[in-house]
Amino acid sequence: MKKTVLAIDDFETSRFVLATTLQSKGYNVLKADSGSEALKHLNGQQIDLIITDYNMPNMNGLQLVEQIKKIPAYEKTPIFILSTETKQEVKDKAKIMGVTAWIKKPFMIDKLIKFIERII
Amino acid sequence: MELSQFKNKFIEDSNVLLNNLERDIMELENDKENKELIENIFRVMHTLKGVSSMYGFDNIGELTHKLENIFDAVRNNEAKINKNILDITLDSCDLIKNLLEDENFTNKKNIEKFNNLENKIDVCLKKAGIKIALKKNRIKKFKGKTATFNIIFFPDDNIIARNINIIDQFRELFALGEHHIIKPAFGQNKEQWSIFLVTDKGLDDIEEALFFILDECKINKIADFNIFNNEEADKFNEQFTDAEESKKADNQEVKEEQKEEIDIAKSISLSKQNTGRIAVDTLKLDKLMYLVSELITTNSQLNLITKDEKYEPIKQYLNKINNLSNEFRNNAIDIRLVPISDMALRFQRLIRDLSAHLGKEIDFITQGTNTELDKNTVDLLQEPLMHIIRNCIDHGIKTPQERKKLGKEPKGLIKLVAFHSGNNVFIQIQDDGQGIDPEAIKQKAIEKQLITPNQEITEEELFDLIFLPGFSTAQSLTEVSGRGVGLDVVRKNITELRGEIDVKSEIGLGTSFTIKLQQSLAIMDTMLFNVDQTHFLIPLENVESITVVETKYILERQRSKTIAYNNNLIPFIDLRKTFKKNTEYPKTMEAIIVNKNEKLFAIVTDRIIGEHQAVLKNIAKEYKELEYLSGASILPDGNIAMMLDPGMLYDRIKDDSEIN
Repeated sequence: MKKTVLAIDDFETSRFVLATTLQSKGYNVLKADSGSEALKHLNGQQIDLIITDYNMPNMNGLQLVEQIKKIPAYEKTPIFILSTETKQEVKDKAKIMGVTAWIKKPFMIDKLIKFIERII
Repeated sequence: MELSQFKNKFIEDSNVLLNNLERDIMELENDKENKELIENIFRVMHTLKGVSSMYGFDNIGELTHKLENIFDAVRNNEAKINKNILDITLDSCDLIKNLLEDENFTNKKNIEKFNNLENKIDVCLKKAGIKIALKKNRIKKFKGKTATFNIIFFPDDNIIARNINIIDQFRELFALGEHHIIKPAFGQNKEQWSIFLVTDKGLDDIEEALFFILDECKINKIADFNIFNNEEADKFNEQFTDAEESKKADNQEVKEEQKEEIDIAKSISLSKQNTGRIAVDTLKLDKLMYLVSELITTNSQLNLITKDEKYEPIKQYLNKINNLSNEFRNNAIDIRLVPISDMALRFQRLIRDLSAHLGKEIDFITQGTNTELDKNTVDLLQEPLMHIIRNCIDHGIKTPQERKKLGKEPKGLIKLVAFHSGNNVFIQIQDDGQGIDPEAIKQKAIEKQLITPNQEITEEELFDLIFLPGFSTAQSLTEVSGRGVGLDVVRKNITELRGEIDVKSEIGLGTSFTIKLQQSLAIMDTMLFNVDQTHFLIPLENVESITVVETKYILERQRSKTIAYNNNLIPFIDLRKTFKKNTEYPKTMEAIIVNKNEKLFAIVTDRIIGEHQAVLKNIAKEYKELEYLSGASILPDGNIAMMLDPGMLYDRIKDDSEIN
């Protein structure tokens, strides 16, 4: 059965690149351009992985993660954060909050796919 | 993180793995040639095998090891998938799930199923002609140069929150090469694993494999070769010494220094005849020995404190620590052992140069030079042995012409013989020179007023005199030896190594010096006893037996200073008298019968406490005069025990007693 990935990024090009890559590898992709949009997708449907950007207006990546973790159905869903952010305290905080992986932008597509395949 | 929490995660992750495995196997049933499925199943078995040992699931390890072999054979086209293999694998899947719940492997059903399944697998392996790889971790065929990395994995609570399947992460790591997992340090609350990985891949690949748990890992490259492979270690060693040699050739240092360094390099390469060795800084070895001795002392203290029953629950761990300490001690001592062949090489040089200088022709033979001694001992033995050899060449062996006249071979012979016997190492220097003339010694001794002209003295005792300061029967001093400061210093040096030296000789035939040394210097098995609140030790190897004696009897025998033992009279020592203490004697005493070189004597004690593994420390030089004290050791309860030297004691008392 196809796996579903929820991809969140406020920047359209990034969303597009991520979505197309994942689709070409056989994943079903849901897109959102903000945290609030993303939460709308979390309506009980099967989501196998959430990939989100960190630097977003209104709700940043970690704030989104906080919200996701509050929803029982998605508490155990693996979450990747893609970001240019390198501050260790932020990354540490993410770990504590339960973020599965912090991937530096710009990322290598094939590496990302490898990691995704490892987790889901 | 609580240990149980992490273990549960491990079981959880394993179950996920097993479920996927089950699915793959059933798919394989419909597609028996599918390479990808076969590879997946192989990798799961390989991973499970590696990871199950982390939690002591040895049974799972065994099972998966065998299954791994089957699937390895299949993926190498040495065997084909059939219904039997699939059934066995599925059954194993089920069993492993049960075994994960049966930590201590006590469930009878599981045990039965395990044995049945193992048999079935063995039959299957035999039928297919598959040989189980002898080593648990087969030597992988590497494409490039291999290196050894060490990864320390210390998971924290977050790992659970982040929903990471840890086993999957290790699967990636194990796929990079050969792995060896060291069980976590016991007694710690935090989980910690030490994994050695031999791989031809680089750090990047390792970091990628560990991507999701990278923050919880400390990766270090520890060698540019496979440390678990002897051949590679040897090759590396060769490179090392070659590099050293060419570096030295470039140096513009003084000729002499250069020559000596080349000698050393030669002797290093000569010693490579033995199994591969690594050059280690002696300071590091010293530090290691120090730590080992601290470990042993602390272990003794621990044993003492935990004698009480209430420590039953941890008894097994205490025993384990005890055994490990002992093993550690033996290993540490062993590390410091070096063969004496290195020394022999220097002697060869000395003999060659010196004999040429004195116009003599001398052959040098060695025997048993792979006998090993503590490095420190070897270093300290060189001077004394060189002196003895100089003596041989200078006084012992005559010129070829003189030898011919005496009907001997023109070429003289010096022989270095080394061997073990019991707890000792013996080193002998023999020559076929003119021997020591007992008469000459006697005369010299009378001259120096060491003995009276009419004194009864055995040849043995006569020869022993040459070890006295200022004694030399040399007709003239040469620049080499004969200054008379030689042999006494030699004996002193040997005594400091807690060894003995004596000499045998026959006129016209030759002389033989024999040095007797202990195997290990600093740590000894001893017998601990008590005299008037003071603790003493005597080497266990010298203890012949122990017996109870009536104090009354001891007091009666104070004049003759002997007691009866086995129908003989043997001297005894009363330490109260030795140390001039007037304290009260206990009602009965216990005597230790000491055997030193076949000479028996007794030490009467207030109480014999028992065996003690003594970490010997030197006594301050202020007390050096008390020659029969050869060291001291700190007891578990913090008190100090003095170590008695049986040889010295015997010398002291034999004259006093009425044996003679």
